[in-house]
Amino acid sequence: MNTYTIRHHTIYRYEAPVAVSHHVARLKPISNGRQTLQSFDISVDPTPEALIERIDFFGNTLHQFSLQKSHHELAVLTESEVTVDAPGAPLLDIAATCAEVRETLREPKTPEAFEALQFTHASPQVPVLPELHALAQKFLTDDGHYLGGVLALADYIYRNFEFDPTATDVMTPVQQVLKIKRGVCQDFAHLAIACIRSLGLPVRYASGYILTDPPEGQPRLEGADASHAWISIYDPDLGWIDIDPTNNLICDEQHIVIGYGRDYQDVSLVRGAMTGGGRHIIEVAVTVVPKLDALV
Amino acid sequence: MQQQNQPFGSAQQSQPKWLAAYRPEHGFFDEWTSSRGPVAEHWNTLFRQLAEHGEADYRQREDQLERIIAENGVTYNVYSDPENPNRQWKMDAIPLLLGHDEYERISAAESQRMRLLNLMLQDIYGEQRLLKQNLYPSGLVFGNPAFLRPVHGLLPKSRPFLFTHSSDLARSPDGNWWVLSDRLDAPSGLGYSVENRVISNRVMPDLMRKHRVARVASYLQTVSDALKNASPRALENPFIVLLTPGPYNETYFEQSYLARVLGYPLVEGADLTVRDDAVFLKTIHGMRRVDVIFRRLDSEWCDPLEFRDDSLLGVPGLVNAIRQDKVAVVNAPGVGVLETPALAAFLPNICRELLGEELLLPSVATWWCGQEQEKQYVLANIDRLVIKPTFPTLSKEERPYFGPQLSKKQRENLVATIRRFPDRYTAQETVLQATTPLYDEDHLTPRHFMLRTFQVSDGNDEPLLMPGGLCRVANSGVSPDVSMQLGGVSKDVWVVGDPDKQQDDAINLNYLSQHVSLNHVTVALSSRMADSLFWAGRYLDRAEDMIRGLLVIINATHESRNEQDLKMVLKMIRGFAPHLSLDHLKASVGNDSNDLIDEALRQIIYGAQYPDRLINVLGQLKRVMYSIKEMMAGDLTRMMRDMPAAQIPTEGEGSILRNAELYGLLKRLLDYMAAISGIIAENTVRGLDWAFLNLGRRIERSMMLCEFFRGCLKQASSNEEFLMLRLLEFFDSSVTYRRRYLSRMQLDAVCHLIISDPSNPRSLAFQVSEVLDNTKMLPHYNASDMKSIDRLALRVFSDIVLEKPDVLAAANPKNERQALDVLTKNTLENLATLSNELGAYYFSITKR
Repeated sequence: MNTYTIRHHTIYRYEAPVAVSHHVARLKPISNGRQTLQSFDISVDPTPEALIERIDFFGNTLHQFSLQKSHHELAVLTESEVTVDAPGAPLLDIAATCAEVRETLREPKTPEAFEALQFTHASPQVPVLPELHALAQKFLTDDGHYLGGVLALADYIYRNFEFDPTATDVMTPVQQVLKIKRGVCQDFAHLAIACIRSLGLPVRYASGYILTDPPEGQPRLEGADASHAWISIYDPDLGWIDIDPTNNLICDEQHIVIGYGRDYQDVSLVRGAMTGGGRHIIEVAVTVVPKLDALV
Repeated sequence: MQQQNQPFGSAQQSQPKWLAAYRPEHGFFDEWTSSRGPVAEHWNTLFRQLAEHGEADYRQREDQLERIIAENGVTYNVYSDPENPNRQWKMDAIPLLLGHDEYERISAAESQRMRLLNLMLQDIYGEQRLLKQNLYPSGLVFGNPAFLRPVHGLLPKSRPFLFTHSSDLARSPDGNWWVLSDRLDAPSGLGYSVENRVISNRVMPDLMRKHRVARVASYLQTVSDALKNASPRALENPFIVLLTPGPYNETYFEQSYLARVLGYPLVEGADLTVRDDAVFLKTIHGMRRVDVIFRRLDSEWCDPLEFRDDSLLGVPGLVNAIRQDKVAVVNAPGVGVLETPALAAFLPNICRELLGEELLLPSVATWWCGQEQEKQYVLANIDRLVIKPTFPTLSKEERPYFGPQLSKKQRENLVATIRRFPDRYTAQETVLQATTPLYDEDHLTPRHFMLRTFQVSDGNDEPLLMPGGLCRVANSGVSPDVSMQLGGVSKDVWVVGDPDKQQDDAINLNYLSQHVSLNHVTVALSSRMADSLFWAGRYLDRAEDMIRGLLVIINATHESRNEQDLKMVLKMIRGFAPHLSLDHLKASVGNDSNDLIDEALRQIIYGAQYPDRLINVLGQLKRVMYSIKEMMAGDLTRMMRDMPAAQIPTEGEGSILRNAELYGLLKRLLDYMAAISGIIAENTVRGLDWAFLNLGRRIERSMMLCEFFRGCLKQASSNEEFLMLRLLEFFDSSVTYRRRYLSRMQLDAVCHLIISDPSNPRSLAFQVSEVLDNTKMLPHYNASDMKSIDRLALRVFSDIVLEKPDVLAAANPKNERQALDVLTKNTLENLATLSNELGAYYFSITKR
């Protein structure tokens, strides 16, 4: 069990003044089986008229605000404290086969299984691509274990795709990633999701953080200085299991999740609609450190 | 098949040839010959009456109908035809007759359907019980791009999702009606069907009276009442707007028509803004709180913050305004999820579950390929099925595939696509759609048709089905596809045979439109419209002045006797096109003045590097006039359409000076511009519309004049008589000058006439006095506040009228006219600032 302090700073600098802007931010980590949110604080500069907090369709917390006075810059700062108590490595030998997962979802009996149905279809950023069908089937056969297959797929992506922050942006389509074989965590998550959903299996997109500096003796993971993304698959017996294709591992206590959705768009960190503003640049700074009270 | 109805009675009277040729296809229901009961009598009577009046009379009615459509500018935008995006609306004068008993039956069935769909929407965007119970496949919701997750839990439970509902109905050979599809998201057609009725009233008044056709005006009243009741604030007169995707939408005409008939401002997303979770319309009087949005914009485009983030048509924050119950959007966003044809397969069961009733209007037999067995069935029977996209929002352009009509290749492609994306396709049994009579050139012919119904309910009262509807007829004898995009024809729908309802629509619709025009005065001018009017004024004048200037320059070149004169022409060009670098042109054409003038003219008309080139200005003019067309007289729209601007080639080769054809074209264009100005001056009420349009014109002309003066006269030269003559020509003041001063050319007199004399409508003084008058008409938010706009207008005016003409004409020993230089420079600066201030204050509302 580890407790972390996360500081997430986002600054928008606009070329021209923005007269009015509306924003939705998804920056507040959820509490679920693997983590507990201890405290959270958000500040927005300039101060918005109102800052509404609510839960969205996927159960994530969002903050909605608007700025009605002309401004050149917007800063959003959050500070979260999260205790992570990740379950140990799941037991592969009790994991369901792909055929069993599909069968469970055909007539879902539990709320969890019903919820998982959400995540078997195409979504705005992850179209179902029949050309991925063959690739996916290499790893995910009807009789094979779903979890094991996804791990093999993650391994394949890890070995054949290069982490390259300059190759893509947030809107790069999966087809393009597949072609250039480069990208960042978001691209690898989308690619894995596209493969898995081409077979009608349930998988969701996770937005979150990983520890900036790893515990002694462990390598620093990719994506540590920004927000991170990975996938989460549904197994009827084991529940949701988070897997990080970028780093080729089952998520452990270094992963802190903000929220889950069908793809990036459902959990995009800060979304805005501006009147005026022209072009803008975004600066993001993220630090995730173990809580210091142990030292006090 | 039923026995044929005897149209002219058993006596076998001699039928006129044009009616006698009517031979319905065997195996289909025909509205005239297969009908029974009172409606059959109406059909027979209708054709007997037409026969009595004769074919020539009918053709006259048709001609009148065409004229009305052209006059009213009824159009339908066709996306796939960029050359001619505005297609004229097509209507056949012979109506579709619907018996009152049939209307009642359809009405009861549609009412049940609307109740059912509302409950389903509440479930989908609520607890999802039906999906959990597996009453229909969850893929139709979760895999449906029209399922908008932010709408989940959005509406208070008491608020219905649907206020309006439309269906497309077809009739099978046994005489039963079937639902082919439901239109929920932003159904179109109501405006067209009202327009069709207005036309029927004028073209067939005698027949309508005899048949006691049920009126549709009361339906519009009910729509208006329902929208009022939708308002979250309990107000006697909630502020309602009609939200349009804009003038390029296929049904823009009917949107602007409906807005006019219902008395609502027609607004685009950019006209609205969300402040403190409430929605406001930006008007030149300030922000006006909006209570109800009658939406013709598709759901997913409504709010870039919560739906599609690439939408420029929507209103950021709108969904949250609904969530906070500060505004009602009708229909609620997200209702399009039920437009999937696949639903038809499951509807009877859901109806039993939710209402405990049998579904009154059956749906056509339907198979969703997202289910394995169903897919296999469809692939095996594809030849006799109609295949439709399951998710219409995913493939808007995709038309249904009619199995029997597919070529081998088409069928193979379709099968392959279904195998790749099975859930995206849904198959339905082919309905042998009934036919109805259509007059085709010289004879009556049966055509397949579809009936679009309209109903409305505020959620408290039973829905009202419009006694009428929109009948669409296929454009050829064989095709069952009735799309207006594909050139289909429409018909008015007459509900006949109701013993209780015998009122005359003409009176009611007239009343409605008068009632509306009274309303219209109070409807605020939106900031966007004011902006468009202002720029329409500016481009109108820019185009006119450019053409006039070009003609003057061409004439002056031809009349030049020596190099001295040509130098004067070049001076005029400097004033006329101050941003065109003549030195730059010299580099390519050399020093010959004639060549240089020719090249400069080419640049002014075509120059790719010259942003203010004539062809650009004319294009901009067309665009901006299009955006204000519903505010303008119909004549004007026609003038704009017929204007020969398009004949100017987009690239110029060869000499401009020697191009007699181009010269003639410019002259004709100038005549058009004069006619357009005349129509505007004669037909525009001197209100705010006028003020903005005229401000645009006068500011543009003043700036043009100042530039021209500066270029020509700032530096005195020896050959000014030549120049003065052209100046007078450009200002259309030659005649006045000669009458006042005979032929003696004197610069102070010229300056007086074309700068300082406010009685000369071409003078600069006259333009700026108009600017001053028009700014005075604009609303003030604060009575004590003298805006910088007023101050600027007053300054510009007094600068010009206070300067003495002889001072302006005087040059110092260095041949500089300092007073003229200062006056024109200051005026140009002040007018530019004035234009910007107008924008900030009234159009973008950033400065208040």
